[in-house]
Amino acid sequence: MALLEVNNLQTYFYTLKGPVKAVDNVSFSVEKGAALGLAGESGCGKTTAALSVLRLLPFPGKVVSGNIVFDGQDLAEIPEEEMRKYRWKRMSIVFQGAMNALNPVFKIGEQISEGILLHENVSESEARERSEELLQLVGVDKSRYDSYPHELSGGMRQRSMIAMALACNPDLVIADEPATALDVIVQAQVLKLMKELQEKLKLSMILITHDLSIIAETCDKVAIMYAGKMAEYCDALSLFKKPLHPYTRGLLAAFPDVRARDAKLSSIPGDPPDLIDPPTGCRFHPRCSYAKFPICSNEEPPVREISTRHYAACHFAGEI
Amino acid sequence: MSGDSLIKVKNLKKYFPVSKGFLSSVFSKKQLNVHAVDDISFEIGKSETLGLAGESGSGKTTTGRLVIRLIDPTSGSVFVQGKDVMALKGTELKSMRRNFQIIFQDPYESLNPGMTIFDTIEEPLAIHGVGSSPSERQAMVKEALELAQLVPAEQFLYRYPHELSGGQRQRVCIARALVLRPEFLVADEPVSSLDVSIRAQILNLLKELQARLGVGYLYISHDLGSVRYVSQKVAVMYLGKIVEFAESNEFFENSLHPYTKALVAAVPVPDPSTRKVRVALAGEIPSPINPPPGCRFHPRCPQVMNICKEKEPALKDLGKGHLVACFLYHSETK
Repeated sequence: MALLEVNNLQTYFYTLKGPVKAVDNVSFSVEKGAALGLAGESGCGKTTAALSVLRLLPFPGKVVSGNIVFDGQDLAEIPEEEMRKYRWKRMSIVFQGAMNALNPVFKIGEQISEGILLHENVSESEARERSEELLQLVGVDKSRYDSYPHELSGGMRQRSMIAMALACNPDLVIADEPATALDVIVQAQVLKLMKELQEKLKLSMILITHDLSIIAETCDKVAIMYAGKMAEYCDALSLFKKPLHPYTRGLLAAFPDVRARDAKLSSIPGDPPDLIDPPTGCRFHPRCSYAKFPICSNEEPPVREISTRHYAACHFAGEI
Repeated sequence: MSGDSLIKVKNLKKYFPVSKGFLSSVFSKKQLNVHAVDDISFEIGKSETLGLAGESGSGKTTTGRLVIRLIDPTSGSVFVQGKDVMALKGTELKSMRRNFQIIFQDPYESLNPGMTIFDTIEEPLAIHGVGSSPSERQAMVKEALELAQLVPAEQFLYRYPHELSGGQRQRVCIARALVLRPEFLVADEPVSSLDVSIRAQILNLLKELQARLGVGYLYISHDLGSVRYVSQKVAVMYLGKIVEFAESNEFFENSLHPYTKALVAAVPVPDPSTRKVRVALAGEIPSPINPPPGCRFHPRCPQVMNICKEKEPALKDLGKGHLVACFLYHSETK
């Protein structure tokens, strides 16, 4: 059974100009010990989907419908007080932008201990000991327990954030763009670490990123989102071998490959749409090179299973 | 190297002094410096792109700013059309500035939010006194917008930056840089703050413009995939020094310096079937205030030898214009 199941999730932000349909009818699941990659451009709703799972949506965001089942429990049904026992203890998040996600006036170690003290019945010295172990687990020297965030480099801060997410041995870790602000080498270090930890601690993971090559290296399953909708959902291997949705193909072709001699990049024309007033029919049709038929602009394509466990939302998936 | 180079950089150095506290300035006379750029030389020809890669803190952005003299170097020179830009002053310098422009990293912050697109692009023309009448200038602005593929240009002239998307803003920055028809452009991470689907648009635009106008680029980026895509030559910097320099295909297929090898290996490959253990280099880039003695890379180098800790390797040509600063390839140390 899947550890986390998200069914037909709809999350809207109620702004003065009207509701922004940030996540619209999205379903995915994460198995125990598996990693799901959630990919798409900025504004496609990937972070919102993750925050909906944790019930950490900022105002004026609201889950309109759909259910989120974590380990057999529907999270929408439990009161906030109960939900707090889930956060950090059962599922945790590594926030985007490690540079700014740490509190600058508290020591790194204190910030990690805080969660342990809140959730577990331990003394302060035990919490400190465990935080030091966690720091070492992620490759930061334990003497850094007493350092302030500004004394650490970007890579070390990101590692500390990961240590913090692991503080209470959660079952599910959501990592929101864990490597985006980092340099290539440090990025490779952090991703390697996350992969190792995931295998070692049998964690389930949701990795949110816009970089498909990171997903290729770390994830088992991939969900590609476009403008709040699921575009394609399948295992990582099939996505890169046989992408079905034109958007996925566009994304893959838009990546300069460091190994290719005289490569050609084909770009996706246009810009991501406005989610207050999204395009009719398929939301990708104004940018899609295959959308020559009236059905693309008139009818919304349902998410269909094209081949075994390979889902795509395109009227012509499998044919083009 | 070729004689018809557009821009020639020689032994360029930039040290930033570190400000000290009161007590340490009383008790010690020694001035500490950040060795941001430390003795680098290169040439860029007409219609040519030099890709400058490296981690943050390696000095690539400082190099870009030095080359177009946004900041003055500690020593060294930059020759444009045979003239040393660093020696120029006043009107001569100003007229020289028409020849080189820059595109900054973040199009959200490098456009004035209070100026319309027209004002933004017209400003360089006004500063340099180009165009005799307002209508002539307007035509030039429109042409620049069309070059950057913001069409129809009329639709964009009187809009403000906040009305545009990230990709469109970066196109405005490109139009602004091109309106004076420079021969040389510094592109400092022009796509790193843009969305994946937009990046390819901008990279392709830069390549097209080069083919059409013959501009030379200094393309600064930490993303090696895009560096390979746009550059004919590539240089890698580490702590203010160029450690390897070669023609692009040679650079990526036959990289020699251990640091370059690690950088290339660290790039994730979008293919799950070739999933490999990437040789992640341990540690992070050290402080440029007190760079390590000898080869600056030696504390992180997997192939470090004794000589690396004592002597600094020179940038040596190993043939075919492939330059490396590493003792592994210096015959006298073998």
